Amino acid sequence: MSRYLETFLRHKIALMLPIIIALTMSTWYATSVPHKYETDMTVWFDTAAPSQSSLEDPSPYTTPAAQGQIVLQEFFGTEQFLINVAHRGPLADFLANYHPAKKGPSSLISTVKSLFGKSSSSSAPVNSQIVDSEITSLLGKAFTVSVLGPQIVRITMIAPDPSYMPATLNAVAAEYIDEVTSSLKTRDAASVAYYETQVNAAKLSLSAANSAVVAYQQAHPGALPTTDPDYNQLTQVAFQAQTNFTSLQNTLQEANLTLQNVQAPAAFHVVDPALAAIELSNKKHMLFTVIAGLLAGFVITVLALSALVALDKTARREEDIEGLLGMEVVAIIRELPSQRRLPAAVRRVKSS
Amino acid sequence: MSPAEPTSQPDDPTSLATIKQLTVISRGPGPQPNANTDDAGEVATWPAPADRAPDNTHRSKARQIEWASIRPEVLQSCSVALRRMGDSSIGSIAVTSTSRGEGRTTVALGLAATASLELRRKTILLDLDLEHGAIEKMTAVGPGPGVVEFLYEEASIEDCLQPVDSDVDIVRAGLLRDRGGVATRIERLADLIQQLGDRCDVMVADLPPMSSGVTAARIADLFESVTLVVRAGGVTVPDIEQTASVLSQRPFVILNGTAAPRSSWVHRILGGRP
Repeated sequence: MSRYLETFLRHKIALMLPIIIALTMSTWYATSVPHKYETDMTVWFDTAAPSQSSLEDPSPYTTPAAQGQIVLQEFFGTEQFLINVAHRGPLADFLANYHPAKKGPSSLISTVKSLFGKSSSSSAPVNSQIVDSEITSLLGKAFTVSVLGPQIVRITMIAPDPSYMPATLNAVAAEYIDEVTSSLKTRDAASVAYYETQVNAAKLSLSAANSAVVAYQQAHPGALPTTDPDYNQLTQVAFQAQTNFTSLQNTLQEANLTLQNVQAPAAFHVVDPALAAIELSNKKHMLFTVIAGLLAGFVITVLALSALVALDKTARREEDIEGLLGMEVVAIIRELPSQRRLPAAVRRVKSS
Repeated sequence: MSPAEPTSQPDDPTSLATIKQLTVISRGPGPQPNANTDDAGEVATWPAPADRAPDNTHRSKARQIEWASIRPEVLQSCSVALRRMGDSSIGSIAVTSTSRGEGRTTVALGLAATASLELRRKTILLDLDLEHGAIEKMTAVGPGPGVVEFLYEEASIEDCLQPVDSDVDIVRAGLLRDRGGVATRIERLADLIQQLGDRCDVMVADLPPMSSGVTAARIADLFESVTLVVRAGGVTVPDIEQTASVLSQRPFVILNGTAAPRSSWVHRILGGRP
């Protein structure tokens, strides 16, 4: 312990540097991090009509709010949904026209990158890909979804600029409705296409069965289904084909009707729209950042100190000489005298 | 000649515990230097010890070193070192080190001053660091011939000896003209040391560091005792071992600059020797 302390005191400036640098950098970073703002809205989820409302089913296996939370979280995990939200709201235009000056260590990194030509200048035109990239990086972690009850879900948005936040959050609801509607339409269109194929196949089967009955009647005039088993079988096949065709036609009609009537899900609506964002206190974040910097610097210093002690093979104590070399230390001079000017008395003697 | 074996009895004033007490706490038995301060710093004065009967009146008074600038702490440590090395039996001491800048000349000065002041011995301080002789810069010795001149037979011993005190003579290094000159004149150097030894009770020689070449080791062999000055933190243990291996006798060690730059509060917390 004493050896470590002595080594530290010998190199105190060098060993304090990592702590000072880490503390300075973390403080710089903590103070340059942009302020954060928060806004939220609550939305209503219910089971889709004509199914029974979840209000009438007090203990469903999964509540509509929980289902809605899962779907919303899935949407927030997709880039396209976020980009659509940004373009529906003011965020895309905001990012295309506004370039906030970077502060703190990130500005230093940007400067260094620009010196080595690895970063485009801020005056370069912003293309849509860059904007989309900024949108996904900004909104990727901006939303959190929490369930307040069986039907109510709260969507919270945290972002560094309050100007676009309420409109963007409201755009989430609109985009959600569009996405769901679009999904339903696509699904129903696929159903219609499927049933059309089935109807066409059934129609061919029916036509073939009818042709077989007519051909048999022409070949066997006077044959009756009650007396002729072959004729009876053909008429039954034709009947079944007709039944199948009629059933599929009805299903197709229903599917067409569903497709035509697809509209915004009535089981979803906004209860509390997003209002003006409020500023969040970042004191806790600052404190943690500074402490983290301090700890990082301390760890570096401890490692450097350990390395210095481990690499120091010089003799510093009498134990080093007597213990390791077996030589006798007859005296110890604590302080190494520096070359000094001769005292006046000595100079007088010398000059005389 | 082998160095006298130091005693290590618990009650012995030269035991390690006493050394620590003397060198660190500056409190304990034995003579204590006083410090006067002039325009250049501290100059030690040394009271005459009561257990040594003065043989004349001027030695009964506190004497002041007027021929060199030596810190009291160095004198105190050198006093302990002399006692540990054999005190009265010691005749000649070669002071060397592993490398330059370890405090070799300072220790040589301290040993010479202690031998003359405390042991009341006729002392000769010999500068054998012919390439970088520093004794003349740190003492009151004036210009004149030195060891080199004697080796080249340009001066006699009487010419080279410069008294700086009633009990202290100094022989300067002289003006070096040929690096290999000493190696080829080692016999003459041995003759010089022999003759100087006859003229004094204690001879202290400031040798070049062992890193300067094998000649230093050959010169060290001409002395009864070798003191290796080690600057704490300035030289590695393997290097000290290497230095000791080229010497024919086991050197005594004076450890120099052990004071860690602790602040007073650290010292208070840890207690022991800083």
